[in-house]
Amino acid sequence: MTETEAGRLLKNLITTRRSVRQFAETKVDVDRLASLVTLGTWAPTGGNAQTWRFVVVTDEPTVRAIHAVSPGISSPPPAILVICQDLKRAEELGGAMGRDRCTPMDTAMAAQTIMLAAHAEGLGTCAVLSFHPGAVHKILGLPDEIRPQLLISVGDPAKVPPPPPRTSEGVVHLDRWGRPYNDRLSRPQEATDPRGEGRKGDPT
Amino acid sequence: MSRSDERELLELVAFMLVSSRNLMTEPPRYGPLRLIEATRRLIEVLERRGIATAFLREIEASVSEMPSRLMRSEQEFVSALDDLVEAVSARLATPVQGGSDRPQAAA
Repeated sequence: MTETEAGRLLKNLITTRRSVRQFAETKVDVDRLASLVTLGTWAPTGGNAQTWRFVVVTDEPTVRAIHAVSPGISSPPPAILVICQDLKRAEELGGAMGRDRCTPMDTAMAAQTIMLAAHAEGLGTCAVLSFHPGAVHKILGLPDEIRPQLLISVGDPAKVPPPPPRTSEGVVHLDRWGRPYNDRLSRPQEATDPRGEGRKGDPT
Repeated sequence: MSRSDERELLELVAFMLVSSRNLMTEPPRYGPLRLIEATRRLIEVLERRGIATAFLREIEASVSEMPSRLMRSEQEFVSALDDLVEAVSARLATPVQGGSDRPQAAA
């Protein structure tokens, strides 16, 4: 498989992104944040529902108020992106599955897209689930049907933590449970390649 | 107390209340981290008012390292907390200069 330049860049972005919890005090331009959110809307959604709604928060008192009710945010970041879902619309489009199962997935996929896009621009981010949804709802004056599901703190990184080790053993199974892909890689004689060269490099 | 003082304290109170609420459904190991964070934020508030002693600032520096310690090793985290508790206890055992206004416990 020939790796393209775009592929290399994407792999690099994926593997070098970190959860940044300490930010410089520099403000982040609102238009820049809004363009990240726009990229987030290119993430897939269940049944193409597109029921996410985003609130870009840069106003300092509001950031501080959200920080106060979000134990998952260590110190107030320059900006917070609040990913909400229109649960009423999600239910209309996808029933209970759309409301309860699709919306958290859609929120997560948009969040990862936003975080990678931010990382590509040199911004640090951290996804935060430890917050009080009712309190954030009140602080932002959200309508009843709009519920906050995830926060992303954003800013110029002050400190980038090292990557935690990745678990690999027993994570990927081949064809059925109990046949770890790693085992197959470590036993090239059992590989299907008739030339007996085994499987090396990236899976195709 | 000024409005900004009250606001700052309310932020700390909100953090503690929300932590308490959310810990009912969050992973148990978040509990120690939230208390550590509350400690750090409390000392930070005192610092901004110029009433944090050097000893309290040392505690703040130490607790700031705690989350990364826990990420590295639970044993390291527990051991660092034990050391900190010991240091605080030693300080508590030292008589307050100028005498205490509390009665001494019976021997």
